Amino acid sequence: MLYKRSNKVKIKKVGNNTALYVGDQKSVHVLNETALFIWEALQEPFTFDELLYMLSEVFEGDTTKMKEDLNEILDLFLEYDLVDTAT
Amino acid sequence: MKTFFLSFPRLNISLTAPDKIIPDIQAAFLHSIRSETNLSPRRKYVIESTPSGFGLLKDGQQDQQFASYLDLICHLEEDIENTLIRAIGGWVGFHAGAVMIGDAACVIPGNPDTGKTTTTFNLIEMGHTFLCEEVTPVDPETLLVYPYPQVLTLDGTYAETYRSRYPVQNGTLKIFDSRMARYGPNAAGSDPVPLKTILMPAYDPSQTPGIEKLTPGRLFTELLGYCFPPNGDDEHLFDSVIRICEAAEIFRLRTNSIQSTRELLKELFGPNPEP
Repeated sequence: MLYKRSNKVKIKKVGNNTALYVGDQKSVHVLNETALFIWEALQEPFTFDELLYMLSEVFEGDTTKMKEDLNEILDLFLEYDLVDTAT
Repeated sequence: MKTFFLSFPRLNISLTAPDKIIPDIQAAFLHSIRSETNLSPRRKYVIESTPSGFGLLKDGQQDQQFASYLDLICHLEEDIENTLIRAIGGWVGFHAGAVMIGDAACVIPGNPDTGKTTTTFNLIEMGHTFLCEEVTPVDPETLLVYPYPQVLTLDGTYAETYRSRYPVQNGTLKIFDSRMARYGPNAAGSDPVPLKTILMPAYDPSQTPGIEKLTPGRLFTELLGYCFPPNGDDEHLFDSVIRICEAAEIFRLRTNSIQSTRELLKELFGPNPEP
């Protein structure tokens, strides 16, 4: 399964942070550093494993924890319509 | 009967009241009553004496009956607030108090019981100029805060405790019971003031007091929660709040008592202004 950015989302800068605005949900989400990295990577569609590899290249830490974090972030992205999936 | 003309940001109102409650109306809307009678009111209220208390007519239509003038005034304040929120158009209406510190505005947003109104009250009593209570209208283009100086409603027990420790010198504090007190500041700003500070009160008797500086990114979504629903589209509100966050200095004020509130406010804003 591939993850890709939803085209419903607009990017807003809030000081040094980035927020994503979903117009049809009237919602806005401020991203943490890891979520922002994943969001920026998803300019192109990637699989979970590809995203995990990119994360491990940039961030230091335990791979199991990183996998859990990525899973959680992608679940939230999907829940809030920030990304779509494709096969 | 007497008719008052009340002026609020982008909103004029006429209010006709029977003679016996004129002093109460004057106290409740002290800083909004204007002598001009040529203002075109957006809303017209008429209060009538009835055998069971008071009746309220809103734009000629029967609204509600009230057993006491206090119930009536609280309802009127809430109705005027709702009308104001619609009248301010593309401005942002924060659920917040505001005071003028030096020549700039400090906005104090928050949910009930976080210390929003008591922080506003303490700043007024420390000598700063009152601007807003309950609703603080901010123009996101000019970053000006517009005065909406309504009477402050405080917890009665808090007011009693405060009065036992400090003199009330910059307004009139009337304690009704353990749940309710009303504080009418003696003076209020009448002109819009540039925004400088957003102060987020956080009262918790079990916490260690302190001041925390916040970044716009950390505050943004929380501050959105203190905005009244926008009259335009949500994206305009988000963009406006981002602009406001980025322009202001933002602090969280963690307090656990009246004393810690006053000490932290002095630390943040310096010594009291001269009376």
